[in-house]
Amino acid sequence: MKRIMFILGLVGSWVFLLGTSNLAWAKDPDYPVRPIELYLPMSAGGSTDLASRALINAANKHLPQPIVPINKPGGGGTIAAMAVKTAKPDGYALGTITMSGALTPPFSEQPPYKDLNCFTWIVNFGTFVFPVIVKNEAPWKTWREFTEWARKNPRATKLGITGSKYSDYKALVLWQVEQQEKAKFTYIAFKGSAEVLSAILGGHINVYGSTVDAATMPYVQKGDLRIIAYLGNNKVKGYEDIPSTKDLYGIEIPDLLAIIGPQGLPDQVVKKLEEVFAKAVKDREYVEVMNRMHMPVIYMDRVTLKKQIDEAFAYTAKAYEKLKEEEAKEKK
Amino acid sequence: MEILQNLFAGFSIAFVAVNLFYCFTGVLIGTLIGVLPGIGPVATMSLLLPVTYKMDPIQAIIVLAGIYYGAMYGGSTTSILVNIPGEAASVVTCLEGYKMAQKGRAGPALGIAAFGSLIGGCFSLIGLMLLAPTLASFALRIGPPEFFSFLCTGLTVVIYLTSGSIIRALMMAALGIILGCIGQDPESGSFRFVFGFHHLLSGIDLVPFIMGLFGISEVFLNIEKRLQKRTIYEGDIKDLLPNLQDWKGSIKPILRGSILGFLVGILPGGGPVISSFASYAMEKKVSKHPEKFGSGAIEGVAGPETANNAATGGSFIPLFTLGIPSNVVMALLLGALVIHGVTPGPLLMQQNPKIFWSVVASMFIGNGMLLVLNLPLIWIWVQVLKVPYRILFPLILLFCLVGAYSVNNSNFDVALMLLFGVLGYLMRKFKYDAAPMVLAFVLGPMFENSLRQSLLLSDGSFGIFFTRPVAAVGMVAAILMLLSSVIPFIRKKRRRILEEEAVDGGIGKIN
Amino acid sequence: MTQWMPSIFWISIGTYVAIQAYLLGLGSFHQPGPGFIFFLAALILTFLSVIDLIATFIARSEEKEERIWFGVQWERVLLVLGVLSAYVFFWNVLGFPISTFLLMIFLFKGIEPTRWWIALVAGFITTLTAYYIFKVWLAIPFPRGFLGV
Repeated sequence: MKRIMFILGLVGSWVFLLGTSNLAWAKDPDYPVRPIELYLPMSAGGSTDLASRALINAANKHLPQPIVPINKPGGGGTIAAMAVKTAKPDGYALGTITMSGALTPPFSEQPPYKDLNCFTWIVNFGTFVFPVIVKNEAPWKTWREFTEWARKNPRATKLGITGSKYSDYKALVLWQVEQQEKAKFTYIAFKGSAEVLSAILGGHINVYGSTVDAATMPYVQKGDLRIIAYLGNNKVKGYEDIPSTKDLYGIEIPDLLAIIGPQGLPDQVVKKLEEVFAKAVKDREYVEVMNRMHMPVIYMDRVTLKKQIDEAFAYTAKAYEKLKEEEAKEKK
Repeated sequence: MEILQNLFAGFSIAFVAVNLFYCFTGVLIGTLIGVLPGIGPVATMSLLLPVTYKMDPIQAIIVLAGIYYGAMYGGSTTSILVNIPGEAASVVTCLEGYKMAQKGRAGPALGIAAFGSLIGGCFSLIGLMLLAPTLASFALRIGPPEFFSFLCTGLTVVIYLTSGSIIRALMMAALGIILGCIGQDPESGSFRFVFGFHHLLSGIDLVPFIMGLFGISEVFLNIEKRLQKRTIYEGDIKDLLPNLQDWKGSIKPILRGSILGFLVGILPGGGPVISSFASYAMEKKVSKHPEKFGSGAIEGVAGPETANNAATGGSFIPLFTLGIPSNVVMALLLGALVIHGVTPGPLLMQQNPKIFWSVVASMFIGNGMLLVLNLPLIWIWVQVLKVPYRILFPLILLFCLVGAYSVNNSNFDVALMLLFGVLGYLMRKFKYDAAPMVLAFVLGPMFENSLRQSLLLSDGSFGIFFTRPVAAVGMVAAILMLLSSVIPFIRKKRRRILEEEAVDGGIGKIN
Repeated sequence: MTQWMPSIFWISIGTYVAIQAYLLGLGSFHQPGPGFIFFLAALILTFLSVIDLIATFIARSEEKEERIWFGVQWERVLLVLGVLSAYVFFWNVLGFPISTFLLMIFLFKGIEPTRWWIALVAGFITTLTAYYIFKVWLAIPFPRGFLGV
């Protein structure tokens, strides 16, 4: 008898427990009624991660239920993207995506997604700056000098990047620059921008072609390193007189640091999120964090974002077509 | 001396009540996280990151750093008690520690692990204080060729990780390299042995891998037998703390482990995992009784546990002095500092020395707290060995399942863990050692990367490994290590063959 | 007799990997391709497995056959493995608390004889504690089942 009571008591407390946790029993018109999971494509500590967390912090001030960041690193951002793609479109699973996560996988060997309509594009909340950096002692003070030298010494230009042409958008842009300049660089792939930074400081490579982050800028400010160009169109504040690939060749990198959801998110959910994020990007703390990481805050609402994505996708598709043609030619 | 002055100033900040509280919280959480297999410091630190926004930068670092080195203390607990590595750096502790537990000596094992961790941790802090700038510039000079030569030496260590056949150890190492390199090729972008699983693009995660190989396989091996009232160790548990003999045997390994761990920790990508393997191999090599290893040699616990804690101190050096993180945890700390408006690096020591010294002081305090925390816990942990296995093993399995899931919040990892559990189970049945495979798994991808990077840097010439001074030293060391382990092996084989011939010749063929 | 099975297994794995690695592209010695390291490691694995196989045959005449499958209930291992796999599948459907509870009961009861109520209580307490530690404190996002937990 006692045993049965004991068991009943335990079961009872369990039901109570379930009841006090968040159950979405009723169809409540007010979104959100429970915490929202947001998948981050990079591991904790990186600039994408920190920017997203800062945004989430700011957004949570305007939400009845918090957004909870969850790191799902790997595959250059595809793992998080896949998690979003396959989630239920109820607005409780979202993700962050960057240009490398969006525009390179559709053209890789085994594309996890062939086009970007499998996502709902919500807002864009920032972007990156990609400087090309050399050591101060290097013989090239400007981009011109560098490309001239590189043309004559292709095997001696050791350019450090984080990925390959099929996984990192910057590598694709560099390849386009090579075509324009009729030069050839030697690429050395590293696992992360920190490794590229130590490689250039140690003199093992002579050019750095990765993201700018909080670790790199002090060296530029101190004068140990020098920026000679930018990939894309964004520049570091205070260093705007250095040309970008947009200035030089008209080659841009789409500004993409966006919040996405699975395909088919209900309109009211997207509207609500848009509202909240629009306020979040104006939040003082958010802007401060982004400034410290030298990431420009570029906001796009869902219409503008979708337009940009479609344009960027078409442009990238053409670029990859050309790349594959060239590679096929070289194989022969 | 200026250093002592700075340190004193640091202590005066670290001893402030609030900061002590944060230090304690950090190390407490760290210990618990270290004990729970699978859930590592990174996940917890990123969880607590938003909580630290309200604190000032010093407090934030105190808490986060506490979690990191606290986890190094706790990691050995499950390794010793149930053969499940709490995290990658504790794999080696399983080899000797678990055997000691099975002989009723879990208490001394846990005790030596705790003391060794304290000494290693403090030693590396002293190194951090005194040598940081010098070592930092040295660390920068380590490029791909130097790293490659260190890895060559590291791979030869594989031979010391087995108590059985060396051929099989090498086989397992080769397999480890294959498994470790699965994923997307960083250079060409091609998918290697991914079989369509996008989760594998960044490779097999270390945690499900080792939890399956060691933890799950151990459970499988145990449940085969009749369980009834069995516990992990039958009989009375006598010693709770290391005795004099244990201490005598452990002093030198602890000293060696501190130095080795500290130096390895400075290397990029090095850190606690590699240092623990290296220390184990070193202890086995210098030991007068290498046969003891594999059946509960306390040196095999003392050295590696000290080394992995010493490595944590070493890994702070590139972060604080250069602003460059040498592993994922440091990257997270960097992020935390940035959010708080502090940029570590060459400017930090000049502009903001307060931060450096108070964090260092706090880490000393933290290590002390950890020892005080962990010692009484030994009695509690040892009771685990008395729990009937048939109640214990479902709990172990649950821990492993959750732990594997928590790494990437993915079911796939759990499935992988089970797969490796089966592999580990079969391997142990047929007498193949897992430790060489784990080391090769960790080192393999780095080995490939640095080889390719080096060859790209040298335009295809292998001479780069011998023309650069540091790299050349490393390569010579690797060759010497290889020869010094292979030659005795060959000699032993020849002697055995000669002996057998003598026996056959003397007795004659028996039909 | 079963001692040679693992060697055959390793030889087949080594050969398979070596072939696939070759197809991936070995590159040249001076610029290793994606398949290079796999090829090298697979060769070592295969080669050593062959040596190991030969060594096992030579040793066979001296040592007695070790019975590794005798006297042990290896069926239990299969059972537990099956249940664990089912668990991973089910926790997407039923959610963490329910699947864990069922798993615990099975593990407590289904392997060694245990009294029903012990299994139920232990399973309950374990699930509850696990839920609190992992879901609430550590905020691990377990998959939610149809009940939303």
